[in-house]
Amino acid sequence: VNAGRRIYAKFATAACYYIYDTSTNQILRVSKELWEAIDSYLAKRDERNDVGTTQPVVVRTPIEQEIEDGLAQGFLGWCDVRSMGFYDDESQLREAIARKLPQLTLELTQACNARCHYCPYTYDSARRSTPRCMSWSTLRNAVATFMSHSVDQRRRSISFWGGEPLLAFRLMRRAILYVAATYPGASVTYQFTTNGTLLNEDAIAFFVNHDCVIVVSLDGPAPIHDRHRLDYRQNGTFERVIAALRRIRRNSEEYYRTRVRFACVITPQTDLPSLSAFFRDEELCRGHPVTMNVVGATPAFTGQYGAFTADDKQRLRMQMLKEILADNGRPSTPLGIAGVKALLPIAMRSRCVLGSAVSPNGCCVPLLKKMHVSVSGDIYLCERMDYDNRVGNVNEGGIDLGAVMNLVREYCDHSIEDCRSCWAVRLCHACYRDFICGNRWSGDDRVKACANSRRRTLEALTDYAAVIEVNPQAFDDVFGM
Amino acid sequence: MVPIDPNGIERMADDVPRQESCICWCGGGEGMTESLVGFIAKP
Repeated sequence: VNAGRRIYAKFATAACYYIYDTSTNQILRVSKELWEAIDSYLAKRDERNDVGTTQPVVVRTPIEQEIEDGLAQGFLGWCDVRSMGFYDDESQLREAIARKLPQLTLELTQACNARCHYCPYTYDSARRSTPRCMSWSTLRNAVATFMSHSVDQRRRSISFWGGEPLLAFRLMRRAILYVAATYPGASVTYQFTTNGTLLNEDAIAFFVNHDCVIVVSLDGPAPIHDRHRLDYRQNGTFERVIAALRRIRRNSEEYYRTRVRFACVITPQTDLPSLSAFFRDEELCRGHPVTMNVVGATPAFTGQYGAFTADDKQRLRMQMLKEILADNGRPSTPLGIAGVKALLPIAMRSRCVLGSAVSPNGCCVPLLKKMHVSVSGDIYLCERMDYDNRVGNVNEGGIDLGAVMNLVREYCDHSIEDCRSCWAVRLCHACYRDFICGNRWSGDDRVKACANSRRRTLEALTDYAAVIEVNPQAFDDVFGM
Repeated sequence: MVPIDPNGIERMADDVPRQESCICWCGGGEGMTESLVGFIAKP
């Protein structure tokens, strides 16, 4: 009698039928007849196996023989996941956190001069009425904590976050000069995300001199951008952003070409073809990396733009796929590139046979993606974690390793039982943020969340297979995108 | 049963974290948004 079970999922594109095999992590193209027959055949075959009989398998049809051939090749084998976690033991995790942190993100200020409709901070009355700034001593402690925990990193990165970080430009400038003076041998790159309305000549000159990467929020052409990206007086910001971009380019064309990136947020109303045309045709944007984001599926304040419906999501998905396929699997438009990047987790998946251990879904190794520090010095795994999930404070002892370890244990202990029998266990990208609250497991919506994850993973597999049908080499060298 | 990308560009093993696919707000996004990766692959 075998331990474990066979786990797989079936899907189809317009042209072909597929089985995703969890045991080998392979995507198998099959005939329609096999696709339809496999469930019942394997059920009958394994029923005999489960009762421990040694009866030989009786193959009656060519399809059954084809399935047997696949099994003989090692496909659709038994999965028996017994553990979930990082590394072999916790000491390796502790060692990594002690020496290898790659990135520090500093919440310089909670103040912002914009009132973008989809920003949660716009609707956070406590934050709006008393926006706080990071103190100099907190900033210094954050830098010291980060630098002492990253001695094995040859290249470190420090990001500035807000609110609008340029409202704290003097603090940002002081921080960059401080790091350069205090750690003269360290290779540190700087970047920040800005709404682009406060980039004056002095600030630009400083950023050019210190080679800072600037990520400018730009949602597309004026009619799209100004719909939701408003300043505190409720005026659109498009013209000011474009003027700032021209100022940066006037200062240094080379810097502009290599260090300016864009972040674009898509809402249900976004005219997707216009958006693509803008980033393709606008000379200030052409050739620059654009990160595409969609507004959260269920924010509590969708009055200004409505929630994404299933139809909206399908429309976006189809537009991305259309742009990918139009370019033979090598898109040049930001939306097409975003679509390919969304499929990268499928392309990059392991091709080895499933063992007895898996990593905790899409969870990062705590702090090895980044260390996010709030205005008050609280430490988080990233800027997306809620405020009640802190794992230390830079002013009060630094990183709380116990809290970090507990976070991982909470996630793994509560996930393993569901994940070990789930066909998506090797592709799922759920993370702490989805199920951890107050550093404790909070999986009340677990069943629904997992069903959604499986549905989206199946959609991604379908899109991936559709792209491979057009161009089998589509994902061979996408890491430079 | 024919694997469509048997060798591919393997970058991950099961005991290696999949954090490469995580898109941050701070590196190219802000506020209450969800990455397209998340849109497709997250609960």
